[in-house]
Amino acid sequence: MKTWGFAAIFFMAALFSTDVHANSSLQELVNQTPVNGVITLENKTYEGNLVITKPVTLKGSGSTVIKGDGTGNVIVVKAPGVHLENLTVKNSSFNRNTAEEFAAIKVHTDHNVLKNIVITDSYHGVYLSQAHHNEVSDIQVTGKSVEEIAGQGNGIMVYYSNKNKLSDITIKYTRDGIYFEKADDNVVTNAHISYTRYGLHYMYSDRGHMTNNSFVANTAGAALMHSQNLVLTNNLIALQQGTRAFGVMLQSCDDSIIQDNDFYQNQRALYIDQSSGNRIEGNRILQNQVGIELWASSMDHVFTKNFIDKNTAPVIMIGGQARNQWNENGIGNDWGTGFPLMDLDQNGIGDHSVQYKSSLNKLIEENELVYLFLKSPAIGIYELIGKFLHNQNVMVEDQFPLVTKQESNPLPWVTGFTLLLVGYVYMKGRRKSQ
Amino acid sequence: MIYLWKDWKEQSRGKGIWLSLGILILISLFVFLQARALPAEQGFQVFLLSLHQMNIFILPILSLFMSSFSMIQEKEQKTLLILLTKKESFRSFLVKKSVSIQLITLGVFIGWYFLLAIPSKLFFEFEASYFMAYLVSVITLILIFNQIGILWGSICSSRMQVVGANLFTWFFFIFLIDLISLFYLPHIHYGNVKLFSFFYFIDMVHTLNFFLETQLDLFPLEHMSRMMEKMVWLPPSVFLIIDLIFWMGLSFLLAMWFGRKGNEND
Repeated sequence: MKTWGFAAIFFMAALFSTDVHANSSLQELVNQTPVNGVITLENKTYEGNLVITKPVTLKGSGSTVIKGDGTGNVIVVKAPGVHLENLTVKNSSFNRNTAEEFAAIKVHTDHNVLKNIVITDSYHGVYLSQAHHNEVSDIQVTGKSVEEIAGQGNGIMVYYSNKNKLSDITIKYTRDGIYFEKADDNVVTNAHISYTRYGLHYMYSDRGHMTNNSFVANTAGAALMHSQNLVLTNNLIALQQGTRAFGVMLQSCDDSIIQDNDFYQNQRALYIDQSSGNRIEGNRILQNQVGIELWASSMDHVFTKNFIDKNTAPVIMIGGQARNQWNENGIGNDWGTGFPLMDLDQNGIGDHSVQYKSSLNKLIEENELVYLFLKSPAIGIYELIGKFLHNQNVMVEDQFPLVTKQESNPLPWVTGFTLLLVGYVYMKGRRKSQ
Repeated sequence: MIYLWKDWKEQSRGKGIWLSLGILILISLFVFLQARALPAEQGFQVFLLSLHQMNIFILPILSLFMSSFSMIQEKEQKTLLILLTKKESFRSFLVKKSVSIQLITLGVFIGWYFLLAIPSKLFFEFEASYFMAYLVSVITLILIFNQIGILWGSICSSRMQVVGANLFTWFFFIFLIDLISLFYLPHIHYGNVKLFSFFYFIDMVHTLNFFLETQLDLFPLEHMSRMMEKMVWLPPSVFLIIDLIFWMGLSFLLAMWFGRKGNEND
């Protein structure tokens, strides 16, 4: 009888413990924690969803997972001063038939810290909504790479949120990597974004700083639109291919600085449309199909100290010439080995101007399919025919071009070594046959 | 097997295949040294893509010359006549000859790329699926242009004719098609882009570029314009299979038809 009694108690206890949802237990844990208290979570999966309404610190232990029930946001922060650290957060709702767009972590308040967080299976990764002065670092967001654009949200969404710091971020397979809308004075450093639509997407957001980031293999690296006074420095912007791809697009984006970035193997490194007063300085624009595509609606830009080399077309002007400055204070751009220059006075500035003419601008204006042919060797012949038929227009004239510094070329060494090797094998073969 | 052994001896003694391999090695090493300057994460993709862009120039002409010269040699040395009089039909000769030429060139060239995979693994973030996609593009290129070379070797009666035919084929696929397309491009619109797409993708050079770039995750097929979506109406791998069957089949059938006629006249 006693044994049966213990068994019944044990059974009831087990039953009771399963009745208490892990969801409510994590929520209760947070609710029971005093203001500014620290909750250290175990290495297990806790079930969300979770709403934090007081400043607390929620710390994972290395492999702590918070899994949403798929009906909403996994974690919602509604109090300022919340710290979330060392967590994996997954499984937000993907429902688009509601007024709200869901995220793994949605922050509505200021001065929060989100650190070392892995996010998967969620519509948006981190969503800052009218949230200011937050620090978001060591974040890894992996999307589902669905075919429909609206089917997947953004890695990080910054909406009506100012003065946030985003650093050490890795984002893959989301719609946009980081999306800013009406969000000013935000800083992005050391973000690595690939396989998204736009790595970085700015809309109506001013004075943003983006430094030491990489945007690789997206449909477009950074789309900076309807914004002002942005600064983009020391970023790697590479391998944005596809017919409409670009490294950086400035559209209705004014008075911004694009400086010391590496643009490498993009369909179009820089695409500038309806923008004015931007400063493009000290960038390395190499091996792109089009170096700079500049629409006539864009003007008053300054291009100086850029190294523009080995692009199929270094500059394409669409819709006619506009008022732009290709040098400043007697310092132009380095146009690479394709434009040989004399520098008899050895002041580093070419003794004559560089002028680039092309007939490709008309084709590009007329049909987007031309981008399928920009890697073709036939482009050279097409340009030559355009030259003989006087079909070319002046794309750019730089009065003070910089003289190219010679870089070491391994080709002669490799050729010499291979020829020696072939000679040795041949001679050895001959001796053997004799 | 006899054909394979005979062709191997002829090719290896003739030095042509070794010279071709030397050119390929030289180019590969040059591209490898250039690509090492890139970040390791993307370096491998760029390395393979750059190698492919070099291959597009070199491999067609090498394959065309090796296979067509092998065929013309059979005619010049009268071995073709001896083989055909020994109750070997021209079709069976063509099949055996094609198989042996394809196996020898593929063996030598692909062997080199497997060797190249070793330093690639050391210096880049090696991704097996990317490497396999690259090998598929190389194999396709060699198979198609070898078969076209065999066609010219079957039809032409002298080495000078073969040289002319090979050079024209190379110029046609590498330059002429694109040049014509560029001048025709202003007339392409949403209504006729599918027809244009057929002509674009039947050119194996275009298809191989597209196939490799998509397989290397460098050309996203998502977020395309409506025009491009209509242009790419089949997956690139399907376009590749169609090209392979079309060009190899067409070249073989034409070689059989004109080659047999030529031999009957002789």
